[in-house]
Order: sequence, then structure tokens, then C-alpha cells
Amino acid sequence: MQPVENFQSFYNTTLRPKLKEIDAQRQAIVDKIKLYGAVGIGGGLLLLFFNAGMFPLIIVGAGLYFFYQHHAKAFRETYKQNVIRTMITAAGLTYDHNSRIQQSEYEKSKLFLKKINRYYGDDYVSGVVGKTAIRFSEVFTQYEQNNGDEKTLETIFRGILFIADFNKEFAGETIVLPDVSESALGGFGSFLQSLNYARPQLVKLEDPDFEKNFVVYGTDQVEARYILSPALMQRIVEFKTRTAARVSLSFIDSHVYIAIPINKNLFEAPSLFKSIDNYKQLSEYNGYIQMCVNIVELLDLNTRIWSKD
Amino acid sequence: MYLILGLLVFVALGAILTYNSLIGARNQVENAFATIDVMLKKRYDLIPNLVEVAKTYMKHEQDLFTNLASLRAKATAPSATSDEKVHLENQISGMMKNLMVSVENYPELKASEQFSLLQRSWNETEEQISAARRAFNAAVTQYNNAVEKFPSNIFASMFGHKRREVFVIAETERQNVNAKALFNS
Repeated sequence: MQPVENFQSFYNTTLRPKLKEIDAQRQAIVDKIKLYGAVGIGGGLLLLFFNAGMFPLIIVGAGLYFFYQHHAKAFRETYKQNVIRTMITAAGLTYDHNSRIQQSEYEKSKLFLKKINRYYGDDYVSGVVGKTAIRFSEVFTQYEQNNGDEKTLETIFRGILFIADFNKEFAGETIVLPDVSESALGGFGSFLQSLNYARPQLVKLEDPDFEKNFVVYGTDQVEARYILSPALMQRIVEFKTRTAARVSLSFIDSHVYIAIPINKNLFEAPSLFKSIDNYKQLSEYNGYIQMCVNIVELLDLNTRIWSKD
Repeated sequence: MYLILGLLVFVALGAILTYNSLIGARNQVENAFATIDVMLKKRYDLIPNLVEVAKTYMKHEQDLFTNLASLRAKATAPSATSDEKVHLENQISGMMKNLMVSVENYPELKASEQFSLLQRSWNETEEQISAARRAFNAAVTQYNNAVEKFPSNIFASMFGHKRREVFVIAETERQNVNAKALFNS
């Protein structure tokens, strides 16, 4: 495991050598691009001077473009396979940069009910933390909105979708969503929340901090409280504070699904023209990996004193 | 003329809606109360098994087991009143807590898989009883809100709805558990 304090040393001892190696390759490609670019454009301009028309320049332009795209793609792959993979393996997990949480699982979580028109995802991570099996990936979903004649694509969710084994068995569904109405409108907001027909019954819980931040819907009042013990409610509030994001959770089929909205693409290589020896960037990515691993401890999922192993 | 009629209809509608929601809230309270009983029964059913397994290892705790058995018999007897049941319930909780603490002194029992499974089931029933009680308290609070808040309180007393009490463990019972656990076993 890589606690944040040790990331500095991990970066220096393990990552840096890899980064330097890849950076050298990257630099070689950039040099080639510059060379071909100079020669090609120079030649094209020369021909233009001799009235050969724009055609050669266009060919050079296209050629450079495809050359760049091909190498940029290979570079991104190399970055993920070597740099990101090293960080994730160091945390004791497995990485598959092309895989993602399946759409069926996203739908099973019932966190977002809007019909999906586009589903993207990558950077699939899986493994076991203590006694808890976890998996997560980046997920990006969109829906089509009809604005009269045009259709626009709006974001439903963008961020990390995290799934873990929960430490209690249960049969129904309990959904914990960010609370807007109740905190803004008080009792009336609560009344509005209870009218949400898309969701099962509203569950009102005792923890005031928790209630201020979240609204809970559940198929069974007692089961919802069995899952959301006073201790767990405190931990969820702590989790929300630490991630500073509008997280949502659902408890279905003895698993917990957590959606952490993050409005950018993570685990991506920087531009081909920039050095990859960027401590700040990699520290940020490592922070996200650590956040997901720490969910297990934060929500106390390794405490297995009930009937589930 | 029409204004008065309209007003009467409005009030009548209000009365109907309030009546229904009060009935709904009260039924929810009854439902939650019954669920507690279901969970308690699950726990009572576990006790004989737990005692059987523990007995074979804990040869010196016979008093504890006899007490538990008699308490359980009293609690499940159909003649026990609601208050008596709660009182017995708390005593049984206390004794079971003692038992679980005493298990620490018997490493073979602790290692027994059979006991381990039973202990997990026990933890689960405890947690579920707690959940059922919390659900009951939530239902009672919602009902009390409807009975006491304006404007539904006007109709509440008219229809015979009264405030109900939430579930509370008596202070003495809470204290008993701590003392016994430390000094007896």
C-alpha cells in the first residue's frame, strides 16, 4: 500500500526510472515529428514556390497528422501500461486500462435512473483489500436531450463507480442519494422527497449530520436501518467530507455501489509534447487510487462479525 | 354562497386526507412494533442452540445457563405482559453479553466453528433488533408529529388519535449490564 507520505519515496525510487525511460522514447518521437515537420513543410513550401499548388503541403500536413496520432496513441498506451499500472500494482490491485464496470452493473446499482444514450469507461481496477473484494473504474454516461429540433448530449454521471462486497447480507435495496431539497427547504423539502415515485419508500434516519447530507430510499424500513447503523452513517458522512464530492451510495444484493463524481478524465497521459515526469499529476492520480482503497477501511467493511464471511 | 360551499369542500377534503394519513401512520407504528417481536423471536430461538454448544465447553457456568433458560421461558410465555416482556428482554440481553464476554476465557469454545457461526447469527439478530427498534421509533415519531402538529392535530383528537411513546431502555437496566460484565464472570 502507498500511503500518501510514502508516495514521494515511491515516486523517486520506483516511478522515476520508468518515467525517464518513457520520457526518452517520447522525446525521440517528438524530435522525429519536428524533423519530418521541418523537412516536409520546407519541401512543401518550396514546391509551392515552384507553382506546384497546395497539394504537396496538404499531403505533408495529413502525413504529419497521422504520424502524430499513431505515436500519440502508442504513447498513451505505454504510459498507462507502465506508469499507471505500476502505481496500481503497488497498492496490491490489478489493472486493465481498456476494461470498465459493465453497463449492466451501472444499471443494477440504481444510482442513476436516467436512460443512457452513451456509456463510456476505462481504467478498470480490481482486487481484494483485507476481506473485501473491490472493483472500480472511470465511468462516463450521457443522455440525449431534445431541444426542439436539435439534440444535445448531457452528462448523467462522470467519475468513479466503485463496487465492494458489503459485510452484511440483505435482500432488498437501499439507496443513499445527496440531499438537496431537505437541506434547502426543510420539512417541505422532505415532503417533496417522499413524493419521488421513481424511488422506493423514503427512510428517515436519526443522525442529523447524515440526514442533512443525504436522502435515503429503501424497500424495507428495518433492513435500511440494519444496513445503515449509526456507526456507518457517521462513516459515510466522513467519507463525503474527505472526498468533497456529491457521492451517492446504494446497497443492493449484498454489495455496496458508490458513485464519486469527478469532472475530468483520470489516469491519462499528458500531451505528447510535455514531459511525463510530473510529480503533481501522478500524486493526484495516486490520491484517487488511495481514496478508493481506503473506502474499505473508512466504511469498516472488513469487520465480518455477522453471518456474511 | 359558492365561497362558503367551496370552503366547506376544502375543509372536508382536508379532513379526509388527514384522517387517512393518521390511520396510515398508526398502522405503520403497529407494523414496526410487530417487526420487533419477529426479530426478538428469532433471537429467542437462537438461545437454546448457543447454550447447548457453550455448555459442553463452559463447565463452570451452570448458574448462568439455568438463569438464561428460565428467563427465556418466562419471556416467551403467552401470559407475559408487554412491560414484563421488555424487562425480561433487557435481563436476557445483559446475561448474553456476560456470556459472550466469558467466552474469552474458553479458547477451545472460541475456536469452535459451530460456536463461531452461532455467535455471528447472534450478532446479526442483535443488529436486526436494533434496526427494528429504530424503525419503530421512527414510525412513532412520524405518528406523533401528525397527532401534534398543526393543522392535523385538530382532526387527530377528533378521531381519537393519541401520542405514543418511543422505545427506551430503562436507566437501571443499562447500568446492570456494565456492573455484571465486569465483576461476575
